[in-house]
Amino acid sequence: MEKNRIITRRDFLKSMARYGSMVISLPLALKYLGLLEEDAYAELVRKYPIPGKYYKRISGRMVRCLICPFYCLLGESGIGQCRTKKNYNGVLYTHAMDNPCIISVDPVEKLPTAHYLPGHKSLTVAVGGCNLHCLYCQNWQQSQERPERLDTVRFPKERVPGALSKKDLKIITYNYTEPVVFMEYILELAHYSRLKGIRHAIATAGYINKEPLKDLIGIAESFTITLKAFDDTTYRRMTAATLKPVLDTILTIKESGRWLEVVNLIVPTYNDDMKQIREMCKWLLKNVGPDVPLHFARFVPEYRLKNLPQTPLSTLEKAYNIGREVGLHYVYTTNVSPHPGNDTYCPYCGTTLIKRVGLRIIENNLRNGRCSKCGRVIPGVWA
Amino acid sequence: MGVKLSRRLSINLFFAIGFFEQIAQISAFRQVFVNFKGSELSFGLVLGVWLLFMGAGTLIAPRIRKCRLASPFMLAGLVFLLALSVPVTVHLFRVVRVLMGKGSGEVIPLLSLSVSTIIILAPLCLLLGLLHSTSLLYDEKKLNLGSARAYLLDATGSLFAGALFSFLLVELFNPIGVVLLASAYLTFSVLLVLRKHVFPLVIVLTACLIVLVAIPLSPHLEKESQEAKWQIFTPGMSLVEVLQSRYGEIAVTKWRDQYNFYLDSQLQKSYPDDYPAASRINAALIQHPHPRSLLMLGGSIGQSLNEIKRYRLERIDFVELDPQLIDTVARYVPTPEVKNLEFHFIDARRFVKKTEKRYDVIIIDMPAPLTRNANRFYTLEFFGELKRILNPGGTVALGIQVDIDPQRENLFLSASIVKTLKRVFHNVLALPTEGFIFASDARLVSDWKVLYERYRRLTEGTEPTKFFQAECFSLIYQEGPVERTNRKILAYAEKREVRINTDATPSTIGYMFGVWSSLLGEKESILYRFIDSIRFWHFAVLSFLVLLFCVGARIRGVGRGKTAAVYSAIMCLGVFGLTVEISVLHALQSAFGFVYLYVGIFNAAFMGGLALGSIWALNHKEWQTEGLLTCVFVALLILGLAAVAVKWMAVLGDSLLIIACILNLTAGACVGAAFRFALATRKDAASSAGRLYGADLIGATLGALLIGSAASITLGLVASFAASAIILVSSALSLLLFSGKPGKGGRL
Ligand code: SF4
Repeated sequence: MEKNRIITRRDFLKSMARYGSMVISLPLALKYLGLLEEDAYAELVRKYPIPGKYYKRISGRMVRCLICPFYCLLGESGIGQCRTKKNYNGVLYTHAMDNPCIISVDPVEKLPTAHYLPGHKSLTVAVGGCNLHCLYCQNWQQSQERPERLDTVRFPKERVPGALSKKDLKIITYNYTEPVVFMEYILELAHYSRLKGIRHAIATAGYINKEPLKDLIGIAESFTITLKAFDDTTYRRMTAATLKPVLDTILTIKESGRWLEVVNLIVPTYNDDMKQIREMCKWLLKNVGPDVPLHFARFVPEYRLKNLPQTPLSTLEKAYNIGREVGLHYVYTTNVSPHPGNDTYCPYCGTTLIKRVGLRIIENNLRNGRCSKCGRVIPGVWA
Repeated sequence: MGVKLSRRLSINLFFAIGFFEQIAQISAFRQVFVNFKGSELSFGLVLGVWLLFMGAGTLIAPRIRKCRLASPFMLAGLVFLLALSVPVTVHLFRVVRVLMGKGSGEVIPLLSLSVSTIIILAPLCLLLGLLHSTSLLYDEKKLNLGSARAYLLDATGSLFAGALFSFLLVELFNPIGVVLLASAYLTFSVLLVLRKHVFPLVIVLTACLIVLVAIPLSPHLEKESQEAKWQIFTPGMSLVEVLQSRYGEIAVTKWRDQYNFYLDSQLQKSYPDDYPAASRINAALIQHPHPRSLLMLGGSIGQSLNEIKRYRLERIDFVELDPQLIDTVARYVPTPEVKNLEFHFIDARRFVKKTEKRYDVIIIDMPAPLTRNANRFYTLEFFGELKRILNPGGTVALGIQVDIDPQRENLFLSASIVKTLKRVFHNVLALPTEGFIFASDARLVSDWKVLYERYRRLTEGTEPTKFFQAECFSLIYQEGPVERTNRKILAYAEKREVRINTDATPSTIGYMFGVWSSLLGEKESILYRFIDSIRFWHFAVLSFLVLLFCVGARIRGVGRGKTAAVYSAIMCLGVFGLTVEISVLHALQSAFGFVYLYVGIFNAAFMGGLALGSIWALNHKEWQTEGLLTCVFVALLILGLAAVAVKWMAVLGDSLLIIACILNLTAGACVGAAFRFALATRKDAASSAGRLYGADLIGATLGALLIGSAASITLGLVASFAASAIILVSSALSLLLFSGKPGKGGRL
């Protein structure tokens, strides 16, 4: 009997209605629960088209971003790896404009930097998003989120002079997140404030293509580049980026004559092989010379590496000694204080030139950029 | 004589099964608990999976029997598999992260963790379910002990195992050794029962011999298993030692010349260069202008004590729950002699409640409030207790990472704690650099220059340590971040949606859970978003749907209406049972902490109740639907009592433990009796039993996951009981309306 059963139209419609309503209600339920979240912020956000030279239309509405070596290929409504760029109808827009999530007054040493206007304060500006995905990011709440989803302040270029003069500042630093992904905003701020004598310093991972980098070099006075490791596999594993473009960035900045400092954060078991550190120091010596300061920073358990212990002090000190042995003149230990590695020494006579505890300068024995004892010139931007 | 012996052996068999099951559950539970950073979310997950898959196993067993597999063979095969699979399961939980491709020290995403837990646990539970059924079938054929008695013995075995594990085995044996012992007992018991069946006997004997050989090797196996775990967890580092204390697993690893201490796989401290401890202790002590007495709740020894010494305090009390933790650290870290320092190995909350001493500074250094156990140190009730033991003008330094990061959960977490502190103290100051929130009725200082002078005055004449100088205050109390953070947090603390954190409604757990999820990225936060979206009215809708289902069935026929009412009553009671079991555990975690040690006992109390209720109902079969209805009303009463107990847990003190046992026992009895009554209402008892069991399991799993794990965190415990009650109400209504006339038995 059962075998010969014919489905009537009524049965068919009934089951269609039953299952259809189930199918329709499921996504609605999921949406209600927030599991199928649409781009709820898209309409609220301000978006700015980025300069045409920074992207290329591929075909139809497909675009390729040319800012960093990820070269994100974005279809309609596609969002870049850095979470700041979005394709609207074949035009690439940035959401990282006028909306910093951090504005604060910090010592410039926070970049970190040891030879760039020591003891000066700056206005630090950071917008959410980053093209790297470092496992240990200390500012992951900002860097690994879309800028429009963060609690931000509206800070257009017109507000810059007022904000700086209120605190009697002359420098803007770009730190905490990745300036590369909000470079359009940096360029706007810089061009607007150029006539007012405002100086710009950038701390970046340096994962950027040459053309946009040149634009940044055009406006910034100093760069602190974080060189995360000295082999490609580790680089990819820790950050999702690659080594070569960062080395190219270091070379380009050096060639440009802008002030350059390099940071290497030593993460236990990831990039703390002393052989590799030695190779890195030798490369720096050969390619950018002995006068580019190198900071070895201590890793502290953060973000996804909460269960990885801090860098042993002995590792940091070994790396410091290797840097000095190889012939680099200015090697520092960072994120560990008080420590003799925080201080600047004259490479010629050994005098302590700048004594620091953390970000604070305790003693400054530089006289017009020269060692107060032997009189030799110490490279840097001192005034 | 022979009959008597057989009977004794079969009694022993069911006792052994209960014993084995319980040890397997606690062992799995401990591993999952460690993987979940001690989150109570694991309670619901483990119990939910356990019930679901054990139930599935129980239902499959009779079908397998039909395919001519003789019970002795099946029994032997199952015991063989189980005896060997429990140690393997323990090992799998340890090395599971290898499947997730995570790097050294990397946090495992919550969703992957939950899925992997289910995958690892499911086969074991399925086998246990099969064993359960098979042993009952075997009993039916050969032993004739009766299923009710078998259940009771099973529960007694569980209870015994729970107590033995909590009070003895955990201290005497390593985790793999414990499960091997239980396996040996089980195989031996089955061996005796199957002594007349040659081939099955050989199978069990093989398992027994393997286990017996493995027991003396268990320290070695444990070591290998731990080595494998830590090689995956932190590749390259050497594992120095692993200790099982009553309160968790302490591991020491070494990287270069640095020792790293882990508690339940969470990094605690690294030595010898403890810069963080040095700056933290100074940042906290300096908030008081003349500190004379200090109470430290948790924290580290070593460098902290070196810094404390410089302040010349008159009295220092250091409270730590686990003496083994301090002993272990002291073996690797030189600990200075500090005059007037006294250690107290006791639960910090209990110490605060009992002490009559008063302090100038109290430093709290406890894990972040991701669990109820940790949350006890961030609640309104606790802050009130702290205030009682503070001298006038005294300061509390609450160690917690302070984030004003623009994401909602981070900010809400800090704001919620500040809001809770503000209810008790006049002044609150957050210090983002060191991760402290200070609270006091006196003025708090954020100007580093003032603190710099204060430090120099207080430590005058003492030698500074290598790790700290007065200038460090400029780094710790950085003007910009401190000002920005406090402005923002205080503004958020004013918001209505930021909730006060209390023992019964721990808002910070939800926020913390959100932080954890957001840390793992957008895709991984699905689970959190789901849990966070649960509201009380969802349960009202669920209750309404149950009622609607019964009404729908009634419209299609009187018989269907009755059937639907009975099935939904059993499902709702399933929800109720697990709500009570898990929520009571949550409450105890909030009140005492580390109650997971006794999870076996509470579970066994529930199982015992189940068996007793079942036996009692067997003798009152004629009650049928009235019996079922009575069970539903009793369940409502139990929920009411549980809510009152939770509300007044601070007043109840230690008696809460006994109340918890009674609640579990009565809830179990209620569910057990209801099942019998429901069965009695059915004409086709044999085929209905499976379906009723299925309804019970669905309810229990829903109760475990939806209420026990999710709602109890987001809504709080009282609301969880209310959610379960509202579901029960609809089943009571259905029974009243559709289950036939009382007095005539109401057989369907
Ligand atoms: S800047 Fe962003 S969108 Fe452009 S290539 Fe890099 S990651 Fe992609």
